[in-house]
Amino acid sequence: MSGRLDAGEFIELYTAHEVRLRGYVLSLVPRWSDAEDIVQKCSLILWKKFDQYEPGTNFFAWACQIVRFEVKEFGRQLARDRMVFNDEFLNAVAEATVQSRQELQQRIDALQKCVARLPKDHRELLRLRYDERRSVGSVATVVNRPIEGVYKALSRIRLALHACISRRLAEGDV
Amino acid sequence: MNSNPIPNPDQPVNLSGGLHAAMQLITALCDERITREQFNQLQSLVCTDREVRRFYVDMMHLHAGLYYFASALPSMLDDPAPAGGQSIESETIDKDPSGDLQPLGMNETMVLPAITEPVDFQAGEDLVMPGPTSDTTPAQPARLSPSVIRGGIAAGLLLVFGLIAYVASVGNHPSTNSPTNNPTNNPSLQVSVPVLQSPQWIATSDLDSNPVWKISPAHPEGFAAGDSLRLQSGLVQLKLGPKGKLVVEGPAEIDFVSETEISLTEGKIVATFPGGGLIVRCPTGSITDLGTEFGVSVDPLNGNSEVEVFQGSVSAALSHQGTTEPSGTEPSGPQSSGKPSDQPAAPTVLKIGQAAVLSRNAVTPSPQGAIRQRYICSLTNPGVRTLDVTDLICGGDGTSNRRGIAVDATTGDIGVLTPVGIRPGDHLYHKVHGFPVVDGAFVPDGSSGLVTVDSAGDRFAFPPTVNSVTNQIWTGGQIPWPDEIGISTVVGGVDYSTPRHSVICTHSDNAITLDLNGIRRLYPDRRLAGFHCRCVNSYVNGLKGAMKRNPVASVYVLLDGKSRYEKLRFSNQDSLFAVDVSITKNDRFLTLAALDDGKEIDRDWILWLDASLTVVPALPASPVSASPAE
Repeated sequence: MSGRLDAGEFIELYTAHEVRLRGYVLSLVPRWSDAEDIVQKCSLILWKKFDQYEPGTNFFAWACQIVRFEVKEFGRQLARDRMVFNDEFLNAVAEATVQSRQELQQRIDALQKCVARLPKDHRELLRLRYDERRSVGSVATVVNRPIEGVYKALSRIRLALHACISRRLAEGDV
Repeated sequence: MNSNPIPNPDQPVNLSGGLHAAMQLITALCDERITREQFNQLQSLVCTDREVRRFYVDMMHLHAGLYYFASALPSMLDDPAPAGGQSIESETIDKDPSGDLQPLGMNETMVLPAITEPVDFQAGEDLVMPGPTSDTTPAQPARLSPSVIRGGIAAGLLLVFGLIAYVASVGNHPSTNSPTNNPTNNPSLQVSVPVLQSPQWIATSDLDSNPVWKISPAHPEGFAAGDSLRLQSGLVQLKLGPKGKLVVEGPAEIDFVSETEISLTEGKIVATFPGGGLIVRCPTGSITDLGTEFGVSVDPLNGNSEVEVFQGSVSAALSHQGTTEPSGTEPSGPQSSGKPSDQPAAPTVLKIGQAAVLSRNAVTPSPQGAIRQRYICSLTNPGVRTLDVTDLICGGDGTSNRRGIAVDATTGDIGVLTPVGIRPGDHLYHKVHGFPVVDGAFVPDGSSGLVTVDSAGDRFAFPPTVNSVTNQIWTGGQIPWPDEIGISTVVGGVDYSTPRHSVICTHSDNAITLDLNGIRRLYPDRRLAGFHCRCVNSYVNGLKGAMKRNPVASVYVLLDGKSRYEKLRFSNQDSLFAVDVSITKNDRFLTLAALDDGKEIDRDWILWLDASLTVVPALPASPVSASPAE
């Protein structure tokens, strides 16, 4: 750790970019639990390498480089039967993510507002799926609905949120 | 005030064919139902279609955002569904007459919601969560500022990084008894014959019981310059002046060069020499005592020497550097790089908790630091009545209050590890290396039959579990954790992470096995009598971000693969309970295991609190012949 930046500055930068970094990891690693492991590992690596970060430069782009390396390492360690995106995919997604980094932050800000406008039963589905981290099958059991119905419903909610976010951005309402 | 134009509620949003197909695949990915064929299809689409790629990135960030902000969702649930036209809604989500949620056909057009704004939002304002409302009462938004969310995260990160800093400092804190560096204040080296008189000389059953030693030439009054000690096996404790002590573990060869200098060509010694000044020469270098307690071992195969500092500090120099006054303060510089140095460098100073290997060309710091339990520091320990098991797992001798070491049950790795989330077990016993008291670790699961529980091959019939494990086995102090929720060490108002207490955390399914002989050899005049601790699941229902309630788990204490204590299917609603297990001289391996309820491991926060071993005086050692073998 250099004397240029301290832990407080790291935490400020990390927390400011954390959701985007998680989104980036999720876009590279299909399973949420795997992505969580990588995020945890990367947060410590970023801290250890923070003295290599040049103050004033793009923290997100710097962090994405380290994340991409860790994702590749992770992929190499997985069993052959696990689905792992190839390098071409990782590079393409990395480029798209860094290029649109500012808009991604705006989309995350808008997401909070759009979620708040969802009907109660849709928010309940999201809560069960994301907060309680239940599988779709488990959610279906709780709400007493067929699993395919819940599966489609979650898909529609995500798409509705995507459209809401896009509209807010188009209207400058973020 | 609402500055946002209200979108047309009936305006459908059409996805292009490529995006529509991508959406199906992304949904399958997000809900972990994707097939390999779909996976490859998505990969291909993202790589070749820029629009799909951008859509994919947006959707995955939305997915991550939902996880991230999910904990805020419950507080929104009291808010009744907004009236028609005021919410994000798709009619196709509504129930069909059968009560099912309508499926979405591949060619179906997404009808997106009417979005009106009952609450005004300003750019950059705080996240607004509508509070309880009625049809006639305007919503009173409850605000959860992103800064609050970030503050919580920052607090978690500070804890993590603070722990890293703390753990890093554990091995380097100054000794409260650190003698001053005063090489000129050398007590004379008086090696005296009391070594030959019980109890200064003790052979234990777990070492070779008949050590063979040879002193040449023999002096009834003690050793003199030019004398040597050849110890084929066993232990010898020598007096060094009025306060000094040297414990030798055979096989060993020591030559007495002068009153303040010995040469160790093979074997292990621990020197306690208040005031400093003792020089230990080894095949590859020399160690100058700066007032300390330290261990030295010489590998007879390659001549490399390892020095570990338990108190105070020493100066380590390679043979070509001589024993000049040290100038360094840290085990760094050319010597510590592991690369040969062309120029003689200053000797390396090693402080308490540090260790280094002296090879012919370099002084290389040992990453694990000083592991006290590799050495026998004293043959007589009349004041020792209990040993701290947490300290023993951390490489201490049971009295040095070490904390902050983790053991990975899926690999056998030990050290200051990075906390990790859920991993599957592999039904293997993983031997732990480098820490003599820790025999190994494993993920207990009886679904495939008997489970090997120690390196002797003892096996035990555990019940079936989900064969998964969260985090490593941790010793604390605070317990580092892979998620923001952390783990509580407070039970009944007592924080067991504080210095007077200790914690061994084995979140199920986790098990660790200790080698009791690794402990016995440290205290050859003591006998292990029992294992004691209190056990609990410290999870607190209703914890923010953790919805689990009343997690159920079991714990087992085994000796050589035989159950000596079991507490089955207890939950966090059960009180702290005592675990007391007797240990006999024939018991070799002690296993502590935490298992899930056969369904899931979530929130099985199993803590072994204030774990200790009671020790009692051993039977007096057999009288030893006082006649050195010529």
